[in-house]
Amino acid sequence: MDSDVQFEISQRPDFGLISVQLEQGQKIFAEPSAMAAMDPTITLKAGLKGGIRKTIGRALGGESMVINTFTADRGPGEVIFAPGAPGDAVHYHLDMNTLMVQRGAFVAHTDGVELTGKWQGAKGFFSGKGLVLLQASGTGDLFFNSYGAILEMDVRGEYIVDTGYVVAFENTLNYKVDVLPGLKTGGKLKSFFFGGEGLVARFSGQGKIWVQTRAVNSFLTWVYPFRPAPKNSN
Amino acid sequence: MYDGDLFDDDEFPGGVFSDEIDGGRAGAHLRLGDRGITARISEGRELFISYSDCDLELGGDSGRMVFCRTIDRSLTFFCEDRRFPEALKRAAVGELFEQVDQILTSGNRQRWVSRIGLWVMLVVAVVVMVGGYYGVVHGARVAIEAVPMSVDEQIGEAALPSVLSEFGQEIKSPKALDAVQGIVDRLAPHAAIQGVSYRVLLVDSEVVNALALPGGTILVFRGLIDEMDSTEQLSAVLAHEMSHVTLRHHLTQIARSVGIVAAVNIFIGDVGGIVAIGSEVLKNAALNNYSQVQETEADLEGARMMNEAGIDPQAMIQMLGNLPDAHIPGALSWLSTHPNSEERIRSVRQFLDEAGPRDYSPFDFRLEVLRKILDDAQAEADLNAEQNDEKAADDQPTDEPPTPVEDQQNENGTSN
Repeated sequence: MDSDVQFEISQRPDFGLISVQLEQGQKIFAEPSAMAAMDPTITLKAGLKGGIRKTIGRALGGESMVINTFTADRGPGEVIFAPGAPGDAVHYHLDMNTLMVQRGAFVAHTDGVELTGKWQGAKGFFSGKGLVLLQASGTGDLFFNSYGAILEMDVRGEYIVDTGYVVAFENTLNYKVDVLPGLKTGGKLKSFFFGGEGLVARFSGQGKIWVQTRAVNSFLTWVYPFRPAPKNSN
Repeated sequence: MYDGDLFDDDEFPGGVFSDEIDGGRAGAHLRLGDRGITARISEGRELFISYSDCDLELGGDSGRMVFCRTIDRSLTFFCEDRRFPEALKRAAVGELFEQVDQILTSGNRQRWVSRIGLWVMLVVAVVVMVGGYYGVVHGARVAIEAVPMSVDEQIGEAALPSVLSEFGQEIKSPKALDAVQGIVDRLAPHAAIQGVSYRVLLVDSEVVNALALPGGTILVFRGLIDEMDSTEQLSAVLAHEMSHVTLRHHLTQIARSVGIVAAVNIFIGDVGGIVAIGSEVLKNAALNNYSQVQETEADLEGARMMNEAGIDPQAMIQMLGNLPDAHIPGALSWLSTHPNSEERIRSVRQFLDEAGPRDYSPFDFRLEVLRKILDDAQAEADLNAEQNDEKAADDQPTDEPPTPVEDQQNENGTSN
């Protein structure tokens, strides 16, 4: 897939690191605190980007309202971005189209990409993934990260992914939130009331989905019994 | 970057799926020609689907994206521009008319269905929440009844020092205490629960107030004794407060504040944590902040106790009627937490009408006597204090203030 900037993603898949080579004058926009290292030729400017609506949309989509702009002002240079979650990073080139990205998964994008939130309504309410997804559209490069490694699926027809594992998908796909097929009524009720276990996104149409190999909630459930129990003082 | 306005009427931003292009997909400018749709992708490459080959479908994340496929599905164009379907109808001159209409109506219908679905879900969510709330309240009541009274006592004990320090000094006059305890003892056999040991404490404060701690400790404020018209009225306040104890209103309030989890914890026996949390919550919120339902419950239960103890329950009505007329600022604290007097009087009156009158016997001591005892005790305490001061002054002829001693006492006091 072509790209507007030269980049390399290293240390995959556990702790994917994004190195971007900027030519003089080129810009890249990244979430705050994503920058791990950079050449001194690059200057950083923090600010709101894309107007009030897009800014608030981003905030609702689980991202910071502030976006840092890295510009190669004083000559070409390299910026290295480290995503927050331990896991892989993905490059996607937008070509006049739109990519839906899970809350908090955005890392960086180049000029020409608009990032905002998109209201998911009832779907978002029941997916347990938040009412707003991030929406990246335009033409340019987008970098996002996953928790765990990542699988790219090219879907034609239907495909089912647990809502906890969806990282991103092209907006040529439609999805509905559904309970696991074959689950008994009791199980359905249970998943409805007790927070998303067995809730899946049923995708239909044609397009790509990125699926992460671990889910944060499952990990927390696994870790929970090992946490230090609070001691009773007195 | 694309922008709808940059394109002429017949050109739309969209995309292409095709196995013939790298990566299987590309962004494209879709142009509606005389015979079909042309998609211009990068580097001037063009792909074409004729209207007669075109199979339309609606989809995508928004549900508004129009997909245009060849019959063998090897090539797909897609476009989300809102003007696209109408333009397609015009350009295809009849050929796609029905298909476009069909997908648009089905799209509209789906949007309506999902909109109605959203409303239904909202209504269901509200019903579940409201139902859940009442379920929890009812469940809490059942759970609380199962909790042993010793838990109440522990919470009351834990809260007592800080409650006392907040409201004032204890009046330790055995005579006065005996008198008030006598009223309580007359009421106690007729309480809803037996085996509660009531203990009266008198608080030296002008505030017109009385409050019960869980477990049976009842604090009676000096201001209340001054404000009541008769011993019967004082007994009405005591009966009301005792009812808060026997009806377990404190635990209900605590459960409401810290949640059902706490109630369950009590139920399964993790009492230590609950006593700590409970006394804290009690101190901050629950102590003088019963719900109106609980107040009315305590009124009725109090009136019932008085009736059965042979104390004229009309005093309860007089007491409630008296309260709004009290013009001293201190009365506000009792009033603010005991709202809607008229309503409460009405329900007590109704209850008494149903219960019917009995033989009532008055108390053998008048409230004035109690006040006198308290005044004497106060005078005595003042005298003692003065003497102590003089003594302290004698012991310490230097100008050094006696603060270190006081501090030490305070520390001892709070650590108990």
